[in-house]
Amino acid sequence: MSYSDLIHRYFEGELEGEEYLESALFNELHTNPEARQDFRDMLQIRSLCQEDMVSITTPSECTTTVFAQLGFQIPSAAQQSAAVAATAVRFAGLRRMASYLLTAALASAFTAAAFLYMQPDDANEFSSAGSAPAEELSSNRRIELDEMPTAPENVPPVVYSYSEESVADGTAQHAFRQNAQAAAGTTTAADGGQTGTVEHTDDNGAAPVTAQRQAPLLGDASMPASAVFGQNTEAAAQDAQTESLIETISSAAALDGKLPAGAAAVQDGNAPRGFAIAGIDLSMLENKRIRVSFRRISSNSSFATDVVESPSGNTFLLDNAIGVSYQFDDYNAFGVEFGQEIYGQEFATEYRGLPGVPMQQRPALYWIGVNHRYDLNAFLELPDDLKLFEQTLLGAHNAGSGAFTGGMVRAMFGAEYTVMRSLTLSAALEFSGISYSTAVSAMEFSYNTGFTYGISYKF
Amino acid sequence: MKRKYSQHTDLELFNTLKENTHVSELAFGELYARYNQRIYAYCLRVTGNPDEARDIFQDTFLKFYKSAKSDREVSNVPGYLLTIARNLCLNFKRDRKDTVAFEDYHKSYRNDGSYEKKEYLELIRSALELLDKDHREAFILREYQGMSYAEISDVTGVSVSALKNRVWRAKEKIKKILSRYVAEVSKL
Repeated sequence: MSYSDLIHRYFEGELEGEEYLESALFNELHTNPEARQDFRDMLQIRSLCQEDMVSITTPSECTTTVFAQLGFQIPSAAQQSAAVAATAVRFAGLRRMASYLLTAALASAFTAAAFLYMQPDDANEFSSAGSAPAEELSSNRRIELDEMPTAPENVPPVVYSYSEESVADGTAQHAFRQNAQAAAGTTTAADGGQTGTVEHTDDNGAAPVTAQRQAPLLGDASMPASAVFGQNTEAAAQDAQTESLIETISSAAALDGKLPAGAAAVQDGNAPRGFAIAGIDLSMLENKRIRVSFRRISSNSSFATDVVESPSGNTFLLDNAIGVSYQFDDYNAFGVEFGQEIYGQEFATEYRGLPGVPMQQRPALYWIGVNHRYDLNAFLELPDDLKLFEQTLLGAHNAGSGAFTGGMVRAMFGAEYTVMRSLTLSAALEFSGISYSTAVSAMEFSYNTGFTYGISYKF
Repeated sequence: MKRKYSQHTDLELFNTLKENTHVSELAFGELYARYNQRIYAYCLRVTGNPDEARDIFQDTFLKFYKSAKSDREVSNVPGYLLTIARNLCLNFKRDRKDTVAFEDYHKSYRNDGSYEKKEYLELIRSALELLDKDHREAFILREYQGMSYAEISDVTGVSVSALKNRVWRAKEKIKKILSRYVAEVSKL
């Protein structure tokens, strides 16, 4: 019996129970490339017929005509069937959207639950390296600051010392501005800056000069001290001549130890930078809160044997992902990530009642989504350089050159090591799941578990 | 408690058609909902002409209803519907001759390798039209409608072995027609 006969009989289901013939076919498929091609051709013909069948819809006018000629009302069942049939193709996109929405809703619920249950009480303040310990920065303290209109009188001043270097590069001036800002409390960017009472001495032991000073928001770290301190203060004249400054902020004294992270950080000359452009406070960009990440994705399929072959088509970002995120506080970051994966798969599946039909495919998967990252150090005592984290992403994917779209959920659990102040390396276990529609099924799911590793840089 | 019509069997609904009540109207609606797509798909693929398919489809259900009223005994409702549709198709096609040549057909398609899925579907539809009507019918009933050879035999009156042979030949011919394209399809 020729392999062509065997293939025909296999697709007719006539080899069931005929183990000898079945193994003969499989041997032929294993050794004969022409037989394999023949088998694939038959499979494709069946697949196309099936897709063609489900793509056919009864025209709605046919339904109307039939029922009108019989003098019948179109019942809901027939109407619905006709309507569904007529709109099945038209609304294929919406059907795919439905699967996306369902997946997105599930992912959102998961992320929200994780966020709500895992967030500690003291996670509302962001602290940077070298700043006050997180446990000192509770949300209550922020309220306390806002509600304190004036500082108590007769409190000994606190001296903030700035290094020569910090004065030279403008960091000291910004540190002053941060202190003044904390002292003024409620001043906004629209006011043009903050005002604080400042005692200013030089290192020659001269009597301190006290002045009301305005710390403008406009400017950057290179702004000269005179511009920061204001043109009409006595101190401004001294600033230009003094190499080392000692700033005393009287009104901020009572806030010592209660200042937010930025103000506390100035005590060691490690003041954060502040920006405001055209009256818009962009202080949210402070403190390396923006993270750009690049990572390698494992694209092994859970359902198939990987096929090793060189990728075809667009290899940009092949099995990689890039992302941008913003760190909202010590533990929570939100961002966007985009990735591409290509799977080389070989698997056996049941096809039209025939078990073990071998198939092979290389779907390219593009995906994009929003993610939430949570640092688990809130619960763990770990060195500052090492963090454990979990990250969830929900989004949409496109696979098979536009043939399939749907929702996507990704979740990872891993560790991150800070190599330098801004540079981190990470590795994690990752789970990903996608939903998609096919011509014969409105909702299919596929999932994948793998290993991912990458690098990120904080700005 | 009354069952919904969707819970009734085909034969129960078919027997209800004989009644002269509003119930028969509802039963017809349910049977129509169950089988309209299959019947229309059969008509469309066998005739290859949407206009003819529409006419045949409408006539099929009208005849079906009238025959139900005439106390006809039926054991397989979808098979009976297909039998009516088949006979109407034969009548429509009796004087028609297929004129699409294999080479002409291929000329109408691009040969630059950039085929889309819908084009492949169009290809197989057109390939069907190149089949002899007996082979095409057997192939459609088997591959599109998913019927067993015994069921197809009941509808067509052709022996199972002859039907197997027709389906086989139809597949081989379609494979030959599509051979230059299926390699592309497999890359999707």
